[in-house]
Amino acid sequence: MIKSILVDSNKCTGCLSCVLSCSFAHTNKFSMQSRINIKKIKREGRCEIYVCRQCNDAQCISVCPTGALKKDSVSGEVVFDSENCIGCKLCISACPYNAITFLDEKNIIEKCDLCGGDPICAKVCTTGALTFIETE
Amino acid sequence: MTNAYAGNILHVDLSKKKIWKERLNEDLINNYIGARGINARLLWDNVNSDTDPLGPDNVMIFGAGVLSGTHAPCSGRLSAAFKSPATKAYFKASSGGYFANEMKFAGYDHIIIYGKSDNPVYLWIDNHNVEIRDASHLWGLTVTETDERLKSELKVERVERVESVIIGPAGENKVKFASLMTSSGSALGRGGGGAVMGSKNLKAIAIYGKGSLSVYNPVKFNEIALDARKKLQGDFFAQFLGAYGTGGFFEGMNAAGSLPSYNFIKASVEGAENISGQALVSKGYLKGRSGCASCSIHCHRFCTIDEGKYAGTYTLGPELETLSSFGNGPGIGNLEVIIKAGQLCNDYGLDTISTGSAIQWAIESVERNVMTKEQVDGLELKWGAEEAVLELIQKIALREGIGNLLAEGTKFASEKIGKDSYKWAIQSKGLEQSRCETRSSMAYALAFSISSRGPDHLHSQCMAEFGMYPEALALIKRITGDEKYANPALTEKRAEIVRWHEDNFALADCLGFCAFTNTAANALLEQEMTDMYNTATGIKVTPEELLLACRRIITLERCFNIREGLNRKDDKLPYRLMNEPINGSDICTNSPEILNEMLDRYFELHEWEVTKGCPTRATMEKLGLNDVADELDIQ
Ligand code: SF4
Repeated sequence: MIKSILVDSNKCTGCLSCVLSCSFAHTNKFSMQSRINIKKIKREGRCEIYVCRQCNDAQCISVCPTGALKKDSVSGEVVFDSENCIGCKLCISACPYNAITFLDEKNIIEKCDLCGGDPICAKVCTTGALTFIETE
Repeated sequence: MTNAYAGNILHVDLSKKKIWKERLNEDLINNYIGARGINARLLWDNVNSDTDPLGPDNVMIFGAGVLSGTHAPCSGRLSAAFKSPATKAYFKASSGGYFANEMKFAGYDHIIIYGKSDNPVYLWIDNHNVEIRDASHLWGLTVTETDERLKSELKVERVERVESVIIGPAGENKVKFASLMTSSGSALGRGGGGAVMGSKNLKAIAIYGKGSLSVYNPVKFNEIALDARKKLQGDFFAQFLGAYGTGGFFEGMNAAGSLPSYNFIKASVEGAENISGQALVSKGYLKGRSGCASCSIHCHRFCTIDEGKYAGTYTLGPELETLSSFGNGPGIGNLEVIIKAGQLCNDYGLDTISTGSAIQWAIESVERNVMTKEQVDGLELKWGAEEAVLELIQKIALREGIGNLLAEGTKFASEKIGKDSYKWAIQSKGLEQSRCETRSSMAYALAFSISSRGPDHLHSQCMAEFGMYPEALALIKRITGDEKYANPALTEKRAEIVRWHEDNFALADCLGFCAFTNTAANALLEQEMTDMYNTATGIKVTPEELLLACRRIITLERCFNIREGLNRKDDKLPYRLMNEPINGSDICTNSPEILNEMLDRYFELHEWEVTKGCPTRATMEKLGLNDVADELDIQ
């Protein structure tokens, strides 16, 4: 069974609950340094959600020169191995969803790991913009 | 430092161009919790009865909620405190948005602004780097223009995240009810905070935070906060508010005969369904919903007008208060005019409640031939005059003609015009009453009359008195011993209900929670809030101890006003509400006799002296406010 985060930006209100929860789930601290990001387009009253879609034909995997990004065939997750990351940022440019962020202090990238199978962002999102559902 | 707090107060003196930081001390935390509470203490310490609200000696204080920055639901509220140019007394204003979060991530729980700059400036807070910068190019710009200009010139990684508190032309012109607006379209609307910033030549405070916040027990805190989110998500009110916003209450209030209309002459109107929160949705003006930081309700609206005379208008809102201030208030049934009025107020930086109230007072004055057409600059001012109302908003913001008089507030304007016009000036303590028909809700009547900031719904929101849902009935039973007191027509037990709500409202204000968590709805109560506070901070307190601190805060706020010369004689409602019945009744339910009965009980409950409503020495010592009692010379 493959589950992934379904994203519907039209429903997003920009409350940042997902962003704050994500930073907290991964670092035990709340901050805006998160694996999911929200861009508010104020004039249009809408938001864009940047988070990994765990693509089947993932561009980030194809461009990564070190094999730090791989597809897990069981869970469907695009898995990141920080040991192999050389901080070249090719994946950041390749991702069509702006879903990969760079961690300056460690000189590596950071991406959604589905919180090990129970993503907190989908749990805290009350608008339906993020839902964790079975896709295959 | 204690977890969950950022740990610092940022001081900025605009006269001396000095900036310094101070550790937030534990005494302040233990006695005044945070945000509104600590603000109140800082305000007490930094101004006095000689302070001119618009002089350099007044201070402008901001405080972020203790839990702001976390994922506790609806926890991102910002509190401000200042001596108000409208009431010349204590004032707390608050808003949603993201400013409080950015403060915490930049490393500050509180910001205090002193003095006055010689020339227009703005404050740029990029974490540890804080600068007073020239704002001559921003002076005169609207709120939206200022926000866009700031975002185009500030250099940070993700500039769209920069959050600001901004004043518009109304604040620059020191309109007594000029608001403070945030980038995200939330307003610290009431009391003239915008004029205080304007008097300091401070156009905006822009902030960007890159730091992080830790909590004492992450596992436990996460569990409790997620539970709280779930609870709130399942709440009927929360869902309703998400769908229709605060304006969703409009039609129900109208049907119940408690929607203040025509300057509080009537309590309902025909056609309310055309200008309600539901109408915003069904007529297609609502284009999006907006959530404040960590919100799980999403009541804030984003509306646009795409065709016709007002095409191109876009605004965050309108809220219930705005719909009523510019709709049924002045007798306007055209939703586009109301949306436009809200947008103009937001962009000029005007409080929609006071602006609408001042305009309704002017309309009634003209209708009663107390003011002439010449006195209102030749405007066709009458009930339902759409264009004249829109024009008046601009005149007030720019202090042009009649706008210059109205900009002083309804109290001043009615004193100036005289001829009984105080009878339809819907103000008390200098603050225009918010859109609540206190004649059909006795707890609201009491709460509005004792509110330290004037007749307004953000001192205590006694929604439970209507008993509209099971949680409300249970709460009323807990407070009074019997569900039968969930009846807004009763005066009995109102003091008990108000006191519970004012304590809990203060608790929400200190922790950064929205009123829709615990008083305007009842999904999260003091136990849940205490559990979140304890697991986040590592401080071990009981709900009773936290509520006692809230009592200390409310008592200090009362003492502030006593120092200004206010007392029980000022604990009243606008003249009309205390003297004129509504809905065809022949008794006025907010009469002095009825209010007095509730006030007596209220002061008794607080263990305050009853004739003046002044806290006694014994009560103050119990609360550890000995130094305050000394300063007031209370024996
Ligand atoms: S929690 Fe949901 S609504 Fe809130 S910002 Fe994230 S995606 Fe948008």
